Amino acid sequence: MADHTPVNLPDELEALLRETMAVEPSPQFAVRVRQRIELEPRKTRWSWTWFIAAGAAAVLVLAVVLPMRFNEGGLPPAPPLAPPVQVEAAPVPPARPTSPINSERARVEAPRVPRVVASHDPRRFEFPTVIVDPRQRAALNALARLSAQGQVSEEILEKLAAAPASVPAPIAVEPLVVSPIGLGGVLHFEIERR
Amino acid sequence: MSDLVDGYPQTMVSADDDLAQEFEARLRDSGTLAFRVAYGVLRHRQDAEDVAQEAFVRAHRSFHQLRDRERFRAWLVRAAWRLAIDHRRGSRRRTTREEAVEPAHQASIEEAAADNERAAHLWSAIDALPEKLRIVIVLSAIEGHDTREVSALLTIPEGTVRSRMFLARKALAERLQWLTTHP
Repeated sequence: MADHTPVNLPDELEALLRETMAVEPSPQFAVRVRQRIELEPRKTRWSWTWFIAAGAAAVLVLAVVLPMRFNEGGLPPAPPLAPPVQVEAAPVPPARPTSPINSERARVEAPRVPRVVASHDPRRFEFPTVIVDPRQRAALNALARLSAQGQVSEEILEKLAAAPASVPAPIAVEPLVVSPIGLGGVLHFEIERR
Repeated sequence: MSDLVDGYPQTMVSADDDLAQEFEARLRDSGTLAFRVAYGVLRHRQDAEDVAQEAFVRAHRSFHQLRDRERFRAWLVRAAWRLAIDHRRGSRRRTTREEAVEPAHQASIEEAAADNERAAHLWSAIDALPEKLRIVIVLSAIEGHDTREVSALLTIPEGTVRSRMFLARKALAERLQWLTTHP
C-alpha cells in the first residue's frame, strides 16, 4: 500500500513553477488562429462517409437488379425439369470398424448406393400400374357401362356366375422321342445317323 | 425555397453561424490554456503558439462533435500536449528554449540569473518525469487547476490524479532537494 501522505514542493519551487506557467500568448495568437481556420477548406455538405454509403447502396441495388433483369429476358428459358427418378435403395451394408490408415481406401471401395429421390409432391402421385388382360378389361368396362345403364340385374349375374368359365383350350405339344445313345458315344451315334 | 443563402437553405447557414459563434467563444475561453499546455512542454513561445494554433485547427474540423465546453477543453488539452510532444521530438529549435523567466519584480541581474538557473533545474527535473506524471504537474501549475479540474481535463478519476500528483511531487522533491538546501 503506497503512502499517499501529501508531498509539497518547497514554496519557492512551487511559486517558480506557477510563475513559469503564467505565460500569456501574444495578442496576435487568436488572430492567427482565425486566419488559419478561414483558410481551411469549407466543409462540404456531403462528407466522405456519405459518399461511401451512397456508393455501397448503389452497388447493392445493381447486385439485386441486374440478375433479375437477366432472368427476365436476357437468357433463354430453361428446359423443364425432368421428373425425379425413383430408384430403390440398395441395402447398405453395416459399417465395419476400420483403422484410420485404411479408412480412405475403404471409403473409395465402398459400394455406391444409388440415391433415392423421393417425390413429396402429392399432385405427382401415380397409381400403381396393374397389368390386366385386354379381354378382361373390356369385359369389366362393359359390365360397368351396363350397370350404369341399369341393364344388369341379379338374375343375369347369377346366370353368369353359374355359366362355365371360358378356359382356353390347352396347347397340345407332341412329345419328343429321344433314342438312347449307343455304346460308342455321341460320335458313334452321329456317324450312324449319317 | 426562396430562403437561400450562398446556395444553401437558411436553416443550414444559421446552424453554421451558431457553430462559428460557439467556436469563437471556445477560442477566447481556452486559447491561453492550449498555449500554456504547449509551452509546458516546449518552453518556447513561438513554437507553443504554433502548436496551440494547430490544435485549434484540428478542433475546428471536429467541432460538431466537441460542442460541449468540458469535452472541448479536455480534447484540446490532450491534442495540444500530444502535438507539443511530437513537435519537441522533431524540432531542431528545442536547444533554443526560452529558459529565462521574466518576472516583473527582479531586484538585480544576479537574482534574475539565479532564478533562471533554478527554473532550468526545475524544468530539467520535470522533463525527466514520466509523461503521465509530467502532464499532471503541468496542468496543476496552469491557472491553479485543482484535482477535480485536472481530472476533468484528462478524463481520468480524481484518485488517479491525486496518486500521480503525489508521485510527481515526490520525485521532484528528491531531485531538487539539493537545490533547496543549497540555494
